[in-house]
Amino acid sequence: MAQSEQTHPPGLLVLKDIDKTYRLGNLSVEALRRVSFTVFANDYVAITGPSGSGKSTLMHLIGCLDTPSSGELIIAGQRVSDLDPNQLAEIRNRRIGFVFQQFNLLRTMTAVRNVELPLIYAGVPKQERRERAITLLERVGLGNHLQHRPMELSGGQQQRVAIARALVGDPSIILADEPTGNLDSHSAAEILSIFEELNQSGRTLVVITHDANVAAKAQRILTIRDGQLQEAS
Amino acid sequence: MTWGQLVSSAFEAIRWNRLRSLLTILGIVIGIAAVMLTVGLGEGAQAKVSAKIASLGSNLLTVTPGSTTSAPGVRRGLGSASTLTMANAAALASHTVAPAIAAVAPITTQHATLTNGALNWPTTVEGTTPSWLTIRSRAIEAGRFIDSQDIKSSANVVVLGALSAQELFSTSNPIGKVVDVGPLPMTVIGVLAPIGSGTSATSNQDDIAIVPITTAQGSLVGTTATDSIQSILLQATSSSTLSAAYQEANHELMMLHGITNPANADFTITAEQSLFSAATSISATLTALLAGIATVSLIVGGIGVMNIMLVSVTERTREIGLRKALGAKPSDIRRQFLVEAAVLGVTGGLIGAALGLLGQLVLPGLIANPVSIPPLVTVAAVAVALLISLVFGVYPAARAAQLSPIDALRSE
Ligand SMILES: Nc1ncnc2c1ncn2[C@@H]1O[C@H](COP(=O)(O)OP(=O)(O)OP(=O)(O)O)[C@@H](O)[C@H]1O
Ligand SMILES: [Mg+2]
Repeated sequence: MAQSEQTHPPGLLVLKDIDKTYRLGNLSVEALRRVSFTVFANDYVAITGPSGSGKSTLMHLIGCLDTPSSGELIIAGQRVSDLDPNQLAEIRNRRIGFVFQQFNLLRTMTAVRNVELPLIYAGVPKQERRERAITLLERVGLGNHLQHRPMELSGGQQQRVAIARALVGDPSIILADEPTGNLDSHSAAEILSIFEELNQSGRTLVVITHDANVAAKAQRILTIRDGQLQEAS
Repeated sequence: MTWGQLVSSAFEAIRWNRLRSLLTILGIVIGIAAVMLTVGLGEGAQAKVSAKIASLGSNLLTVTPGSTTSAPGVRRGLGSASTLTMANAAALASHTVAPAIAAVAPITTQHATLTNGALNWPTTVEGTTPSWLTIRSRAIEAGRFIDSQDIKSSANVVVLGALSAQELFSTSNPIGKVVDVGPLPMTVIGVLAPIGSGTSATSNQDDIAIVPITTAQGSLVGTTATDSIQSILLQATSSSTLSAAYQEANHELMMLHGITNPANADFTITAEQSLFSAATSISATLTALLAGIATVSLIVGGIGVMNIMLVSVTERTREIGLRKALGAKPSDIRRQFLVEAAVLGVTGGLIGAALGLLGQLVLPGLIANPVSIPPLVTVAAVAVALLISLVFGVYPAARAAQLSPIDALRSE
């Protein structure tokens, strides 16, 4: 036990030699190759790289939404491959807030109900759920669109609903895949200032972006090319 | 998620997917109603036939003079002197001679006109003994039936069938009144309960008058040999001893009549039930056929439900992936789809059962056939529909819940 304490990695997110290979029939795509890096608590990390370089793939692995083909992922000292489906659900629900590149809102539900979803699985009572969802939607500038369904919202508005949903559970790790991709510079600046606040209050952020302005806010920038990591800054 | 939340979110999902939900429910409704009504129709038909058989008296054998096997010229008609006698009937009534025979009723039959003052009514007059009532499964509505005392004393008493009484006395009470049976005045001692005219070709069984057999033989016109009778009714101890009773009666009568070759028998024993056993087996076949159709319609309905459920779960794999990404456990997903399927199944089940029961009320008026749905069929049909919607609503969802969130999100 004492020994494992010594070898205990200090990082919040530790990736060791992560490979991810997609198989399409007899064709295989190596989306990630021997990716290793560590994100420490309260880091603000930006990931950049050309389209198709493997950024989203990497983010899905960190978010416990997919499993690596090989290599090891450790989140807060826990080896992810050791966890059962219920423990994984718990991590996704309590520790991680995920902003999808494709938003992934439920089309049948209003903005508020979409934002409430993670709280339902966290067992938060209905009244509190609603209040917290409304607070966050107001914070991302959608106070007037609470009852709109995704198809009644613009792309940028949908993106902000997705951001509100990622933040509503008050997770300690925020993983955002192109969170400002669809936003005008004003809205983008607002989201970035929210991120900055979160970082200042101790949250850990990993943000994928093409935007140099967004990357500039981060403490570290990781660049991926052809599934391989090239750390800069 | 609490069950309350699950149910309310299930209703939300059902409302959102209105058409799909409607089709699922419709499939269940049609399957259940079809099963209930087809089985109900079969049961109703069978009950009708059973009632018919019961109304004729059960386990009945009739001995008539003449042979069905001999050539027409040899055969004796009903008008000629009968080979059957009271002594034959008495012998068959012995439990040592014929243990399988429970009761015996000798019968003489004449046609006579009954007269009450200005009213007259031609009817069939049967002379018989008290056991006729039980053998024929008849009941007395007013007064009493003939008894052994009436037989002994050849009493001039008559029991009227419901129709005869109605024709002769209209609404007034006939008990104690005197009617002329042919030339002979007789006191009315009872009226038989009506059984309604059957659809069969046999004569109306309410159009009858019963007199003591001794009276019929002694005083009434028409009979030449006073001891001879027109037929003997035999009741077997049970339906399973019917053929034993037949054997015993046949053997005893052959002996009494001194006949050794069965081909020369001067009497015929027919099982009245045999007329209807065919009908029973036909209606049993019908029930089996209808049950088959019902099963097929339940299967077809079930496959419809299954299809819609499968499609709906496949369509919703992205939703399952997203919910998992946001922290839903596999058990949360299973429960969500379980509740949705249950809500659909129960709704469809209740509507289907209600429709079936409504059909039970309305249909007999339209098709002149009784519909009787056994409660067990209702319960079974609802249970099967519920089971189908649960299995095909939950199983694919549970499988989708095993996918990684990203694989589920990427589906389509
Ligand atoms: N499910 C999949 N099956 C097969 N190949 C895939 C799958 N998902 C991604 N890929 C491949 O993996 C590589 C990395 O994809 P990924 O989505 O991670 O890129 P990205 O860096 O996020 O690009 P973008 O900036 O355009 O979002 C691409 O070549 C892509 O074609
Ligand atoms: Mg991407």
